Amino acid sequence: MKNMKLLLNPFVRIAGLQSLVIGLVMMAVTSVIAYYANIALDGVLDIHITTQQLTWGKAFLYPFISVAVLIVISMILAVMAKTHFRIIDLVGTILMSRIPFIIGACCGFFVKLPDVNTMVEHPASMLQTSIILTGICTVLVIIWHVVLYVNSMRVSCNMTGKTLSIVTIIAIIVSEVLSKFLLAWLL
Amino acid sequence: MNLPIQCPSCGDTLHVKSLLCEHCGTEVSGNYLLPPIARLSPEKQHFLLQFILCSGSLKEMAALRKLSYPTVRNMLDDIIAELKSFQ
Repeated sequence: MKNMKLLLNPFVRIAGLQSLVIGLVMMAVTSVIAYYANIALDGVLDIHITTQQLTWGKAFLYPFISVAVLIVISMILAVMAKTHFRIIDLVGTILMSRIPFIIGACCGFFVKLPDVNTMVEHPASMLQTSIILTGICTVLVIIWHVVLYVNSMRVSCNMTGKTLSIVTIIAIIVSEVLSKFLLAWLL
Repeated sequence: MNLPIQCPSCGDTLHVKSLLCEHCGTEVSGNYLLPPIARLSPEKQHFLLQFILCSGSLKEMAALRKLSYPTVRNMLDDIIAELKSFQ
C-alpha cells in the first residue's frame, strides 16, 4: 500500500535537484527508446506509433518541447494562483511525472502497424490483439502521468481542492493544444 | 500524557479552568484560553518542536523525516495558516 502511494506520489520523498536529475535522465532514456521503438511522443498526452522512421531530432525534441510547454504554463498558472513554490521543485517534479512514458515508448517494440494502404482497404487489419493491448497500455500510461502531474503540482506549489483541480485541468488542456501547434510549426 | 485540547463530547476547543502549584498546593481558578501552539494537534506540536531543534532548517527537517523539502515546507505552511486562524 505504501509502495502504491509512492508510485502515485513519489514527490513526498523526492523533489528539488534530485527530481530534476532523475527526470532529465528518464526523459533522455524515453527518447532513445522512442527512437528505436518508432514511437512519437508528440504532445503532452500523446503516444503514437508511427509508420515512418523517426529521426533522432524528432525523438528528442517532441517530448522535450512538450514538457517545456507544460512547465511554462504550470508556472504561469501557479503564479496567478498566488502560490509559493521553488522553480527547481516545479520543474523537477513535472519532469519526473513523465517517467511512465518509458512504458509507453516500450509498447512500440510489441506492435507493428500494417502499411497505410492495407489500413485503408481493410480497416479490420487494425484489430490485432497487440494493437488493442498497446492502446489500453498507452491509456493507462497517460492516466498515470496525469495523476503524477497533479501530485507534482500539489507538492511543489502546496495546492489543494478547487485551485488544484482548476489549475491542472487548464494547464493540461492549454499545454496540449499549444505543444501541438508549436511542434507542427517547428518540426 | 497528552494535554487534551478538544472536548470529547462536542469537539470544541477546551479552556483552562484551574492551575495548581505542586509545591504549596495553591490553586488558581479562572477561564483561560490555551496558548496557540498548545491548541495544535500533538503531531503538529511535535513538528514545531523538531523544527526548533533543527534551528529552523527545513532542509535538515526534510532529511530527518526522510521527506522532500516542499513536503516539509507545505506542512509548515499548513501550521502557519492554522496559527493565523487562531488570531
